[in-house]
Amino acid sequence: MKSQTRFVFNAVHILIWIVFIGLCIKTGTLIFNLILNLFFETGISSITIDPRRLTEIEVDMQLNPQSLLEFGKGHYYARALLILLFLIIQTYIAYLAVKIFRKLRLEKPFCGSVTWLIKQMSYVALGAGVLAIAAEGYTEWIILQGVKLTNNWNGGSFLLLAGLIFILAEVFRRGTELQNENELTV
Amino acid sequence: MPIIVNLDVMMARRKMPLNELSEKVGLSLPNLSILKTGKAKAIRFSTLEAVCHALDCQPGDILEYRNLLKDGS
Repeated sequence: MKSQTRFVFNAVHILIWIVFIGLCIKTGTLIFNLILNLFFETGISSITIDPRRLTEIEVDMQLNPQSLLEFGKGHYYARALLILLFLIIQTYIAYLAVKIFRKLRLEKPFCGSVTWLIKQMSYVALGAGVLAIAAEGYTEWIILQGVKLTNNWNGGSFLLLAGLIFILAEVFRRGTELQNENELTV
Repeated sequence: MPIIVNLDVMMARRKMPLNELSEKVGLSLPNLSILKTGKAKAIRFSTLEAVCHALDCQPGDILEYRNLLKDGS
C-alpha cells in the first residue's frame, strides 16, 4: 500500500513538472510572439493577411488577430496582455505545485512551509479567477462590437479551485498543529 | 502556560541526573529535556507514573498550577 502511494506520488510529481515546463514554453512563446508583433510591423501584417500563418498559440488562445486588429490595435494588445498575464499566473500556480511536491515528505506530510505554499496557491488561484472574470467581461464587450471571438476564460472554475485549495490549506494548518502537539507529547 | 513543570526541582532534591532518570523512566533524553524545560504540550499518564515512581514523589510535586494573571497583578 505504501509503495503504491509512493508510486502515485512520484507519478504526479513528474506530471506536475511536465505541466510546468509546458506552461513555461507556452508563456515564453506568447511573450516572444508579442514582442515580435510589437517591434516588427511586418509580423502583424503577415499574420493579418494570411490566417494560415497564425502561430499555434494564437489559434489556441483565440487571439484571432485579423478581425481584432481591424477593430483596434490597442484592443488586440490589451487582450493579448490579459492572456499573457493569465498564462503567467497559471505558470506560477504550477511552479508552486512543483515546490510543494519538492517539500512534501510522505513520512511527515504536515509542515508549516507546505501549508504556507498551499495558502499562497489559493490566493494566486483567486487572482486568476478574478482576472479571468474581468477578461471575460472585456471579451464579451468586444464581441458585442461585432468582432468574432470565442469567450471561454473559465473564471468560475478558477474561483472554485481557489476555494477548494484554501480549504485544503486550512486542513493542512490544523494537521500541522496536531503533528506539533503529537511531537511535543512525552 | 499556567502549568509549571517542576521536574528539575524534584531531580535536584533526589540528586538524580537526567541520564539516570532517562534510563529509569525509559524516555529518551530529548523528550525528557522537552518535559524538563516546560516545552511539552501534553504528558501521558504512563510517563507521569514512571517519573513519579523513579523520583518517589506525587504528580503534584512535578506539576504545579500557577495563575499567571493573579500573580502578575
